[in-house]
This record gives sequence, C-alpha cells and structure tokens, in this order.
Amino acid sequence: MIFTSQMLHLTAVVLQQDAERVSAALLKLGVLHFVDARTVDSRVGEAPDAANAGTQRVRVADARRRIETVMQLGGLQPVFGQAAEPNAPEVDVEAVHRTLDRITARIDQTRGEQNRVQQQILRLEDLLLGIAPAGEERHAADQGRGSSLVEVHTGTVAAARRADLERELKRYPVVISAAPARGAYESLSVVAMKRNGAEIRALLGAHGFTAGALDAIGSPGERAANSEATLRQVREQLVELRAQQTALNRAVRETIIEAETQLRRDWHQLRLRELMLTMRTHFGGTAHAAVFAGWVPAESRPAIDSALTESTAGRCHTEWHTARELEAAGMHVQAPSQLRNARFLKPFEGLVTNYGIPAYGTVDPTPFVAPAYLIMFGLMFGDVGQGLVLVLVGLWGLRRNRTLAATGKRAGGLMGSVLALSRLIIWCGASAMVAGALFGSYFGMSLLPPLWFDYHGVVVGHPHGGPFNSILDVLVLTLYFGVAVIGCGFLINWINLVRTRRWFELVFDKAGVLAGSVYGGGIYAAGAFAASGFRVVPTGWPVLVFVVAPAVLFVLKGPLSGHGGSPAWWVMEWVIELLELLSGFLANTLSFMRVAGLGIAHVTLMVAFFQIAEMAAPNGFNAVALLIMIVGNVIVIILEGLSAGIQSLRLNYYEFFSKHFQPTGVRYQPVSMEVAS
Amino acid sequence: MSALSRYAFINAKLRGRISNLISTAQFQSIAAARSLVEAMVLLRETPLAALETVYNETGDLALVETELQRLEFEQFTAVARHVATHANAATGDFVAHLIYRHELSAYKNALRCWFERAVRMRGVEEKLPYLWRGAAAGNPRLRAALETIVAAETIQSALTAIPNRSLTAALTPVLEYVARKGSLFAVEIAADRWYYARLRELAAAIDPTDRRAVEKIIAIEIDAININWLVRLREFHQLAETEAFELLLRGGGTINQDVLRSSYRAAHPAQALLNALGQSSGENDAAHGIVFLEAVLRQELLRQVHSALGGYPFTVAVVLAYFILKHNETRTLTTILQAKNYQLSAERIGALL
Repeated sequence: MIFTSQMLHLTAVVLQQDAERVSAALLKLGVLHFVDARTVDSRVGEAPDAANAGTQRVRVADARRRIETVMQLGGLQPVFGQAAEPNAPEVDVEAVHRTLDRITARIDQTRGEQNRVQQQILRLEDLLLGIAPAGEERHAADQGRGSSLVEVHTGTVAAARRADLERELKRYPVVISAAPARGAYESLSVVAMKRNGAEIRALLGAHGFTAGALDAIGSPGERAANSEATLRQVREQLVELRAQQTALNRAVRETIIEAETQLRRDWHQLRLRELMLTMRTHFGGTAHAAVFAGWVPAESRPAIDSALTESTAGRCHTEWHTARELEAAGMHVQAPSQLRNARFLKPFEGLVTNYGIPAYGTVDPTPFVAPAYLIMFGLMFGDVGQGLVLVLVGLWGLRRNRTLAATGKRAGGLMGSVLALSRLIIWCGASAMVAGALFGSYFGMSLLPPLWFDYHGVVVGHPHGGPFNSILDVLVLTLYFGVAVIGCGFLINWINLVRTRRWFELVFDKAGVLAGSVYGGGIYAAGAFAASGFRVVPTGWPVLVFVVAPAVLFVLKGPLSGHGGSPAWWVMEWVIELLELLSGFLANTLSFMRVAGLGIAHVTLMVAFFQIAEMAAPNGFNAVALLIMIVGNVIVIILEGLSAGIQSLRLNYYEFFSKHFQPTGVRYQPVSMEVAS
Repeated sequence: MSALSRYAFINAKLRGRISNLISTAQFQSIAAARSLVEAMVLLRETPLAALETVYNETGDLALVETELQRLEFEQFTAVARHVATHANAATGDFVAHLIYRHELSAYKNALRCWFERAVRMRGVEEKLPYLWRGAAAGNPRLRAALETIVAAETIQSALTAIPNRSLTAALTPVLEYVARKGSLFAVEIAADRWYYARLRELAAAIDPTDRRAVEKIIAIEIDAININWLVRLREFHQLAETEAFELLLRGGGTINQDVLRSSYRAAHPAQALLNALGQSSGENDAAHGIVFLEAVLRQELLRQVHSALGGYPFTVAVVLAYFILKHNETRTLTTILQAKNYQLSAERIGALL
C-alpha cells in the first residue's frame, strides 16, 4: 500500500447492559482504534463506571505484569492462544496474587536452600584461596610452617572423639587429613585459616588433641599424597555443591513450569479483562446508554456492523463518517495512520516510523525507502563475501533472539527491535552481495569478473573494461542516483499535497511545483554545462521556462499567502527563500556524493590491507598474510558496514524525507489481542 | 594537551554511561515488586542484568551486593586508567584517589570485622567471604592485608596491617576512643577525614578549571558526611560538642558552622538540621529524622552533580559526577534489594530513598 489506509470514524450508542458483550465482540475483531467519545460530541458525559474501570484496569494490569515476571523467571513467554475467545469473566485479582505469593514463597524457600549451599561453597573457596597456590601450601606444610594465610595443626586425637572434633571444626574453613588409626589414637592434620587460629586451638584442646611432629601422620611422601587427596576431596566437594546449586536453580524453574497451566490461564484472563477495561475507559454515556467512538480501516466496517448488531441484538445506533466529513463538520479529530506493508518491508517500515508517523492520507514512503536504502548500502559496501558475513550475522541475530525469547531472557520491545535489526542486516548483506557481484569483489578479491564495472580497478586506476573508467564516473553515477531520489521526493510531496488539498503549498512549498521546476531545470542546465566541458553556460528557453520563470513566480508567495506584510518585505522574503532553496538543492544533491565517497573508502581500505598482507608475505602467501586479510575484512565489515548503514539512513532522512514527509500522524493502535502487552 | 582532547572521549563515554544508569522509574518498579525474587527478575531490563544471574545461581543476596560493588569498582578502575593515560599526572592522581575509596571501605569493613571478633567476641566467618570478593577480588596484597587486620590481636596491630602508612598515621591518634567509647566511630571518621584531606590536597594540584569544577562537589560531600556523623555522635555516642567538632572532616563550609553547633545542642539534632535546611520529615523519631536527613543531603549532592554536568563539559568534574551517580545507583539498588529481602512495602522503601 502506497498510502496510509482509508479510515472510517465510528460513533456508537449501545445499552449499558450490552456494553460488556460489545466490548468482547470489539476485542475479538481487534480493529477499533478508540478515541474519547467526548472529543466528537461534548454532550457525551463520562460513563458512570469509567473511574471504576480505570482503577480496576490498574489492578488487573499489575497482576498481569506480576505473572509475566514470574513466568520470565521460568523461561516462559505469555501469549494469547490461537483459539483465544474474549469471553473474560470477572477475574479474582486477589486470588491470582495469592497463587503468585504461593509460587514465590516456594521459590524463596529454594533460594534460601541455595544460600545455605552457597555458604558452604564460599567457605571452601575461601580455604582454597587461602592455601593457594596449592603447591606452596603443600611445601609449607611439609616444612612444618603455615603459608601467609593458613596454618597447619598436627598431632593425635583419641579415635572415639575424632568425629565430634571434625564436626565442630567444620564450622570454620578447614581441610582435615587423617592417617590410618594406630591403636586408640589417630594422627590428624588440620589446615585452617590463620585468623581462626585461636578458635581452632581451643577446639582441639577441648577434644584432647595432642600436638605432635608431622611424622606422626606418616612419611613425607604419605603426607604429600594425603594432602593432595584432601585438596582433591575439597575440590570434589565444591563440584558437588555447585551441582546442587544448579539442581536447586533448576527446581525454581520447575516450580514455575509446574504452575504453567494455571499461570497461562490467569494471564490470559487478566489480559483479556485488562483489554476490556481499557475499552471501557474510553466509553462515555449515561446510566443506561454507553457511547464510544473510534477509527477502523474502511474495509472492516461490515465486520464491525455485524458484530455490534449480533452482540446487542440490534439494540444499537451507529454513525459512520470519513475523516473529510468530520473535518467539514468542524470536528478536529485526527484519523490514525495505518501502514500496511508486506512482511519483507517491515524492517524498512521501522526506519520510517523511527523518524515519524506519516500524516493520515499521505504516501507511506516505506516502499521507496527500501530500494533507496539498499541501493545506497550496496554502492557503499559492495562485496559478495562481506555481504555474506552480514547475512550470517543477521541470521545469527534472529536465531539468538528466538533462543533468548524462548528462555524468557528477552521480551517485549527489545525483542522486536533486535528482530527488526537482524532482518535489516540480512537485507543489507544481500544488497552488498548483489553489488559485490556487479563490481566483481569477493572479500576484496576479484575471484570472478564484474557483471557491471570493476570498482577496485576504477579506484586504483586500472579499470578492466566496463562503463566506468574513473572515480569521476562513479561520482557522477551517485549524483544521478541522488537526483532520482530527490525527484521522487518531489513527486511524493505533490501527491501528498493534492490528496490533502493544500493547493497553495502545492505551488509554493519548498518542494512544491515551482521549486520542482527550478530543481529540474537546474539539473538540466548543470548537465548541459558539464556536457560542454564546463565552457558554455546554457541560456536557452528551457532555462528561461523551467528555472527563471518559476523563480520569479515565487515572488507571489508573500502576497498570496495572506500573512500580510509590505511589498518590500515580500521581495526580501523572496530573495532569502530563493537563496535558501538554491543552496539547499545544491547541498541535497551533492550530499549523495558521499555514497561514492564511502564506496571508494571501502575499496581503498581493502587495497591497503592487501598491500600490508603482501608486505608480510613478499615470497608468496603465508599464514601472517591470511591473518592480516581476515583482520582487515573484519575491520572493514564493522567500520564500513556501520558507516554505510548510517549514511544510507541519513540520506533518506535528510535528503529524501525533507522533501515530502509530514511526520505528524498518529499511529493506528487498535485495542486487540494481538498487541503486545 | 588541551582540555578538549583530554576529556572529549571520556566525557562522551561517561555521559553515555550516565544515561544507562537505572532510571527512577525502574527503581520504582523494582521497589514495587512483591518479593525479592520478582525484584531480581526486573533487573533483566537494566544494564545490571548480571546480578539476577548471580542471585539465581547462588540465592545469596550478600553476594549480589558484593558483585554490584565489584562491578562498580571495575568500571571506576577502567575510567581511572583512561584518565591516567590521557590527562596530566596531577589529574591522574586525583582520580586514582577517588577510586581509593573502595580500598578504604574494605579496610573499614575489615576493622569492623576485627571489632566484632576481638572486642565483641562474635563470629564473623560468614561475613568474610564477601570482604574478600569486593575491592580485594584479584588483589592478593589487599586480601592479605584484610586477613591480617581481621586476625589481629589488638587494634594497634590491626592498623599496622594497613599498607598505607599515611592512613595508619591518621587513624592512630583516635584509638583512645575505641577503648573509651567501645566503638569504632572515631576510626571511621578519621579514615574519612584522611581521605578527603588527601582529595582536597590533590584537587589543589590540578588545573584551575578542573579544580573549580570539583571543589564545590567535594565541599558538599564533606558537609553531608559531617552532618551525618554529627547526628550520630550526638544521638548514639553522646559526645561533647568540642570533641565532636574536632573529629569532623575539614573542608566543607557550604553550611554555616553556627547552625551546625546549635543543631548539635538541640534535643533532636536531625530534626533541627532539617529545619535549618528548610525541610521537615513529618515525624519526630530520631531514626526517621536521620534517614530523611541523609536523603535530603544526597539530593543536594545529586543536584550539584547535575549542575556540574550541565556546565562546561571538558573538565574532570564529569568523572567525579559519574562516580557519584554510579555510586548512588549502587547504594539505591542495595537499599531496595535489602528492603525487599525484609519484605518492606514500596511506600516504606520510598521513604528510605
């Protein structure tokens, strides 16, 4: 669709008793963009339950968001099911909160268990950190002295008391090694943090521990082996504790998954209820009648009519008007703009709406932006290999985003933005690949002959045939392209002005008919001047008719505008506007030379990396040269890819949009089950 | 090197980071979460999403807080490194001292642990793993010093373990208070006093434009700390006026000394100070007054920081401003998460902030 969709304004009156059913029917259709009924007719009062509906909506939305938060924790995404029916009964919000409280309490309990496990992990990690590096610690132990943070207590303890001692010692970060029992006594080595020395000694003393030489717990070899085994045991214990942590974390997810059905059902009901209440907040009326108003795409009118008739058993009154009829009646109700582009154009629609929403009834520039953007990008970044990398990056972005969405780690607006960006990158990559084949560039190498012209050859001064032989030719090419884009901008502007019946602007606007004529004539004159080798300034009738005459006619803008002023003022305004117009046209057109500039920079950078690679491998190809080429390509892809993307956007926004775009529209946002929460 | 080339990059970078700090709306939504578990999930939408992962993997809120501090320290260190490379030595030293605050804080925490262990005879084992994982993470020298402080027999030997001789020398004269009052407050004030004295000394050595830009902020910070301590010295330690004012930090001065002294003599110094500042907490209890006073002082500091950010951009003030704003983010988030852990209501949390 080149234009924004035609919208119809609906004003409907139904009985309050039918309002709930009407809301459900409208929600099911999901096409009504509500406006406050009072803006259409000031006699319409606020619905008796409007304030209540607003309060309820806040409560319902709060509960719905809470479910989403909990579901996110379990890696779940709430969505309306295929067979969603908007028959939302009253929802017991408090019951939902109670369910969620139960779930979060269970999760909290699990987190508590995790915390207890974590304390053990921290203690063991602390000890390992204290005795690290392990080799030094072992050496220190063998030498009978502690390292800087730990100390070793060695001696014997009665075999019967060993278990109690061990249990109490484990309140601190310790590693306990024991030699096989010799009679009623066991030899023990306790590695502990120095800071706990006093407490450890007190505990050992209380359990009858007798300090003794290290030999008591075996030979140095046995001790080393024993110490190694103990450290291994600590590390194994850590692995086991970490596995417990993972299991507990998984248990949290399972807790949520167990409640998934209930959560999805509650979310579904809450969301429906919220949407219904959103609609009700737009209702006006009296104790018995409900009045609502809104915009729908013209083709949805029959569906709305039949839905209203069915849900009210014919007890409804509707009025339909076009935007123009309302305007003629003196009602200032702005119709929303619905952009209906094919799916593959959605990333480019995003570029347009990022700038602004086109005014209702005007041209949606998306179908023009898409080819213009891609051609510019291709001309600046033409390379099959590098384009392929972009395509792969875009595909990776799509895949990664889906994975994150599936695990609940990404949601909402961010997900949409990343998806759109990934798709745009794929398009840019494809454009770069096509342009690369046209220029015969494959990762900066000429693996196949160019289908159009040899860009590399032109830049380095050795073109191998083709229609372009010098950098000047490339610059002229981009200027032609710029003229085409700007010309297209003029045309769209004229169409917009005719459709919105702004006749004065059609003639005198800075991108109106007169200005367009000056621009067209100017381009013709500049072309003729260049064709003469910059020797003869054209002065024939085309210049007189298309440049001079319209430029003179601009002087009428002041007196015809109806804004008052004196003849001297009008002449001054005319001179200034003419200067602004001409300098603007020149700047707008020359601005497109950046397309050639970036393209040349792209080629030059690749040539530079090739030369560095050649210097690194004077006797032929080697690994260093390969590495330089890989790094070079990566740098070019990042730097040039970013530059080309930004410059293409900039040219669209400032040179193309400035000619025609009226970003004063309101986005069409029907209350629908498809709209993200 | 001109101010433009010195600060253009870091200015742009830090302003970018400032715009990435958690917004008030995000804080409010985290504070409004019904449980700590849900509050953590809401962090996913912020640049601090890594904290949720830490919590999910450990269930340990203290570790989340430590990680938050570590992230802050890591960012500050990277900024300080950049300034050291691009600015002159004096500015580099100034910024390096700004991040010394983290190490100072680690010493204070270690001394608190020592106090708990050696004086109050309470176990501190559970607190220590977090001490090692803050500013001491990846710094064995600091870790060893902290270990020695915690394990020290006496306060003298604890202070000797601090590798910074100048700091040790600044703390030693106030040791009598530890024995006399059975509290570490004098040591903590002395540490702050040493830190800000050195900061002012370093600020005096930087370029005049830089100096002018940071002096006011530092003065407000000092005033905020002094007021905070004054209220505590009066409410909790009943220190004589002369003693209290002698302990305070030098170099504030945005608040009249007579006002401070008369407030100190009042029955409720926090309320008296609030009245002097033209504010009212609406409640009369001391604890509430202190919390409210802290919030008022913080707001004043943030106002000054934003005013500095709105001024001439190519000065070291942008670094100081970023450090304060980032630290404020850390502090606010810690408060909210703690409050969620204790199941405080959103309104109560709002009052705390």
